[in-house]
Amino acid sequence: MISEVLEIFFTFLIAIMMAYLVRHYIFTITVLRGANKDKKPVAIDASTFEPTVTILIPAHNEEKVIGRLLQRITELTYPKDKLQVIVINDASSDQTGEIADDYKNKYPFIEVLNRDKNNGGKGKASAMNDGFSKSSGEIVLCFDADYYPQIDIVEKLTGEFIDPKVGAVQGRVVVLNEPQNIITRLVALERIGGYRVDQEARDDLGLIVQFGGTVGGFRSSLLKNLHGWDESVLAEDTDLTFRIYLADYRIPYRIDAECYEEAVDNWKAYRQQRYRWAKGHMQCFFKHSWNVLKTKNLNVKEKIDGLLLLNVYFVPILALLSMLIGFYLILSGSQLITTLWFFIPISVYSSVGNFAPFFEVGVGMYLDGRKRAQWLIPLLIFTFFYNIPICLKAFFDVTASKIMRRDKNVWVKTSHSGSGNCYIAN
Amino acid sequence: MIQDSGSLIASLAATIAIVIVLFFLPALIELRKPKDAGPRLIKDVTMKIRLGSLKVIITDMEEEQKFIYQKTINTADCLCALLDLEV
Repeated sequence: MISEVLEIFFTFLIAIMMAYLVRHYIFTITVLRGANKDKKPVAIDASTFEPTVTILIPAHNEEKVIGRLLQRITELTYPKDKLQVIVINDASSDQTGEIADDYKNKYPFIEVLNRDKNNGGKGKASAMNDGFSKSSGEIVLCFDADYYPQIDIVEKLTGEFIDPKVGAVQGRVVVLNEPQNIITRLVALERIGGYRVDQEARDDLGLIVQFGGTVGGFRSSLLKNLHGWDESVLAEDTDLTFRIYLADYRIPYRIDAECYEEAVDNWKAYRQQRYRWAKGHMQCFFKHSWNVLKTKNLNVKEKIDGLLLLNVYFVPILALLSMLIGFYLILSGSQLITTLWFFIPISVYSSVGNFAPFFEVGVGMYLDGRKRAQWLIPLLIFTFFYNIPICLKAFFDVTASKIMRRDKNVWVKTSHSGSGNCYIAN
Repeated sequence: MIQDSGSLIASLAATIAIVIVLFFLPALIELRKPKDAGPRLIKDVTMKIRLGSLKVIITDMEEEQKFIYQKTINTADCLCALLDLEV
């Protein structure tokens, strides 16, 4: 009896893995085919479209990186009379506030919003809402303090808003401190899979482009209608992505709007960041899955992609379950293993590699013109296994909070050491 | 059911050895002596900037033309006024 139940469950798990496999292959082939074609032309009017823009920069103890970003902000080519920059100094205990104040005194378009320990330090969504309440731009862009954008990134991102159906826009994230150590190298591989292939394919196929919380922005009026960021969700970016699509707006992806990020450079920071993403995504799964299914504002392929995206942090858990059940079925001599002999290895293969499997990362690197970094791809299997306990803990925490009806979010901020500074040429 | 546990262990050991060699050796080589060009360089200069600077130059030329035209008219007016005085 147990074996039969497990066989049914195992078949179900293999079916889910196969769905992700098909999705990954479609994404990869789409981007490969699109690589030789000319990109969609930018609207002619976009070159003269210059709305007022507010850039929000949340910063909690970012003294090692905030100056680098603010200096870059002063070099942006976007007209400064149409630019408002708000640094949200979120209860920092270091020199972040002083550094930001120096720039505020020199440049009139830079403002500093100081949040003390009583009303600050409650997470990014809370800081962003506070900053947004002071914003005056028609478009609101967001950059994390450790980021370093192209000087013409504002033009590229805001140009998309000439289309009234565009609610938000996302640019490409590139890891700055990639050569630093093995962790930054592996994060760079994941980013290439995600931003060179996943996001690009979603944009090409008209699926759900994910707003990543930074290197992107929103139409201010829409954000007001949506009542800003949801402070009860740890993945406030994914939450906003779905609220925008459910409100019948779309999010284009600008692959040429590139911005460096300083990747986490130690396993503890990696674990904390991924736990936050996993828990936040799972919260979004419970919050939006039903809405995605029943809405009339999404077509069938968008609904399927949306559900797969909301489920993505469950995949490592499901993969672990399928491995354990599969091992049990092998030992118990189940016929199912013999029947599914072809699907099991490729479904496992499709699930490893931290959500963007090996072939997807490899294609991304090929398209980026990388020569040798591909050799590191097999090491992604370690991050995949490292993500299993992280996602398991997130799952138990989310489930426990749902059962006990007490959703307590503790925002553990990713610390930045400024290790990327040495890679930026002066 | 797997009957021979000895052969299972031997197969597993052989598989792990092959995986390590085929799977991870290139990665370890690249980690020890990186030969990749490093992170992707983000490009700043775009057509928009170039067009923007061209736009400024064209605007300047137009202003200059307007200025010369206005000066010519003013000079012509002055000459006419002088001629009127002679009469």
